Amino acid sequence: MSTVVLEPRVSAALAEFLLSMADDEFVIGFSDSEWTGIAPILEEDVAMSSLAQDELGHARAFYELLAGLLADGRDADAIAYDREPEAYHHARLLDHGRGDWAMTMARRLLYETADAARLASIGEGWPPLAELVAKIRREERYHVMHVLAWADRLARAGGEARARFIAALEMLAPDAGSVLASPDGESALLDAGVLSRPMADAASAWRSEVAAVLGPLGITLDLCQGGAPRGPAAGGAAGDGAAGVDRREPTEAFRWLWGAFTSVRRSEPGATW
Amino acid sequence: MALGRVHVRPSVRAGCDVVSPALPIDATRRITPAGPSPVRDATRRISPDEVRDLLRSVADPEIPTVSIVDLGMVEAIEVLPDRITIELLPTFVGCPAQQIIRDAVIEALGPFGLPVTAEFSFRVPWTSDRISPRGRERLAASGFAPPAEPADVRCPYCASARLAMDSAFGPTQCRSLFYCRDCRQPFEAFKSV
Repeated sequence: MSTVVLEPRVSAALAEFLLSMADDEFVIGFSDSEWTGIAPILEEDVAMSSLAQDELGHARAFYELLAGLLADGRDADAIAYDREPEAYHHARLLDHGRGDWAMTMARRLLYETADAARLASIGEGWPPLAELVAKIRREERYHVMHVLAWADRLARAGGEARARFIAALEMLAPDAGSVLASPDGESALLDAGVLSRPMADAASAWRSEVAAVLGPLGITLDLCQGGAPRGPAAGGAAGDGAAGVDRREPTEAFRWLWGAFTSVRRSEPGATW
Repeated sequence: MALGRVHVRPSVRAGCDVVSPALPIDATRRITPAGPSPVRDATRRISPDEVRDLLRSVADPEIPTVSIVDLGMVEAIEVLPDRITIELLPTFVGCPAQQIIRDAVIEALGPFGLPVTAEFSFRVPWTSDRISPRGRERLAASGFAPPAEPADVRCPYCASARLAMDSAFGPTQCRSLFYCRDCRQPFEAFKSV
């Protein structure tokens, strides 16, 4: 692996950025895995399980890079699992509970398109990240294909499917921009070439992309220009997220998910699985 | 972090996967290595080609009929006076078989009598273009369509192009599910990444 010595301000900003990306993939991966066994059709059961496995794999790779960067004695598992719910840095969009199938697809649409814009903003400044992202982008292509097919299917179905899909998009819209919130120390990351463009540019490209997907389906979605800040969602549960409130308390939905995904780890601290 | 099931046992028939309990590591090494068994001779320098030949005995446990060499997963082989280092490329970032493959590589190179370091890296992205012609043949013979864009996939049984993609996602991260409208056989196709 190439070694590039980073200035302290760059490595601090990079650590935070890696943690955000890792936590996003980790939380969406676990949320998706909740469909294993109960998806509407068998093919989707397999698809959601496979998507979840991909996302958790990406999270692991990001956590491993972070562990190497921090070199504080924690491995990827320790970073992933040994934190209190308040210490996770995932985007607000992912702080809502799983919801129904239409909500799951609406969120996947907003997340996958935003994540694609984020991955497209990674420069060559830190080769370990650039190399990993080159690989991940090849896999994410299938994720985008999957969710675009569902957006089309739900929106064109009309009736309850379309109504639920649109309601979910509108409920999530205020938090959607949080995936592309500008990270702390963004200018350091840009100077070092870790990022090739500011997140504001990525967010702008993402809004156009979402409009290009939803426009032909007759759906207009207001994705706020400023971009919601990162951090827990304002609502206590799916369905009542409100924009602009930077509340640092995780939602009940996320606390529940945290309890589920850390339960095995906490059952036998220090065990090797 | 364990990421899901690993299918270790061979398929019950071509193209049909089974969920099975984990078997010992040597169950993943069912391909007969070519050439004579290497014997460590302190005066003889081991060539990377010899190492590569021995790695032809190691298979991805999820695709037991194709070696990791033919899958294009072996990126670099370095033979040093005191050790052998192998750089491996994962087919998918979250492939749960990585640890098993790494262990199988170390075990397979045991006859050289040198410590072996085998690590996965992302220095070069693995792509489906890295699968060798022989690898593609063996995939097809096992009932897996070799990687192609969805529109270019052909049935591995009858070569028909009259197919339906049932799902882009299959039993492992690297495979999709198809159905052949001519020979009416469901089959799996390698994703094109």
